[in-house]
Amino acid sequence: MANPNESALLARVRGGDLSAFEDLTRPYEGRVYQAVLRITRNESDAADVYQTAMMAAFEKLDGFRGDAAFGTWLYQIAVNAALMHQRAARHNPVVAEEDLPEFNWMGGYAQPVHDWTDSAEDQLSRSELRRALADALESLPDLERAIVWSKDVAGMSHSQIATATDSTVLAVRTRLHRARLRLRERLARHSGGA
Amino acid sequence: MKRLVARLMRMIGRRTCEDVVATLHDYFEGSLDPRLAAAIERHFQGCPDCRAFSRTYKEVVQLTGELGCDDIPDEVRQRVRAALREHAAATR
Repeated sequence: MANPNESALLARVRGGDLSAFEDLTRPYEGRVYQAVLRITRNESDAADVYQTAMMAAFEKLDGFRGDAAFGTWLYQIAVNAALMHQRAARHNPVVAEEDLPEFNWMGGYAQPVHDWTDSAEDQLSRSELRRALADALESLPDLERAIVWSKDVAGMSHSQIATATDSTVLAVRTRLHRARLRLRERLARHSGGA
Repeated sequence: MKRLVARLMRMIGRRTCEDVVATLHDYFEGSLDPRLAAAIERHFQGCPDCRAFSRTYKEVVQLTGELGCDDIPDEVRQRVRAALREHAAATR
C-alpha cells in the first residue's frame, strides 16, 4: 500500500477501530457506490449490494497485502458483487444486433456515417447527449456496462477490470470496444443518423 | 467474399472500413503495431465516413467519462455503518 496514511488506517482497522474503516473507505465510497448503482440499475439493489461489498471488504481486510491500491481493491470487490447479484437475479438486458455497425460486402459502411460531434459542442445539446448516453448504457448487457463504466468513468485499467469481472484482459478489451460501438450506434440514431 | 476483399486490400497495404472500426479501441489507446496504425491513418485520409466514425467513437468515450459522479446517499452510508457495528458486536 503506497499511501502511508492508508497503511496507518489499515493497522487501526485490524486493531478493531471501526471508525478507521470509514476513514479508509471514504475517499472511494462515492465512486464505488456509483459503479454498483450503474450495474444493478436500481437504488434498492445498489444499497444492498454496496453494503454486502463493504462488509466483504471489511472481512477480507486481513488478506489485503497492498499488491493493488486499496481503492482499486475495494472497487473490484464491489463490481464483482454487483455482477454476481445481477447473475443471480437474471437481470440481463437483451441486446439487439442492430446496435452494432453494419458493413457491406466490400467492408464499407452499409449506411453513410453521420458526424454528430458538432452538436456536442453546444452545452444544451451535450447535456441531452449525455442523457441519451445514460439511457443507452442502461440497455447494455450487465458485463459490458460494468466494463465500460469501470474503464471510461472510473479509469480502471484493463487488467484491473479483468480481475474485478473474473475475465481476461483480452475479453475486457473486446467487450469494451463492443460496448462503445453499441453506445455510438445508439447516439447516432438519437441524433438522426447512423 | 467480405473476408476475401479485406485480405486482398491488406495485401496491398490498405484496410477496409470494417477493419478500421475493429481497431479503433487499440488505435486510440496507442497500442497498434506502427505499420497497422500507419495503414489506418492512410485510410482516414481518403475516407470521410471513417473520420466521422472515429470522431463519434472518441466522443462517446469522452461523454461517458462525463457521466461520473461521486454521490452516495447518506442512508446507504448509515446502513453500512450500522452493519459494521452489528458485525463487530456479534464477533466480540
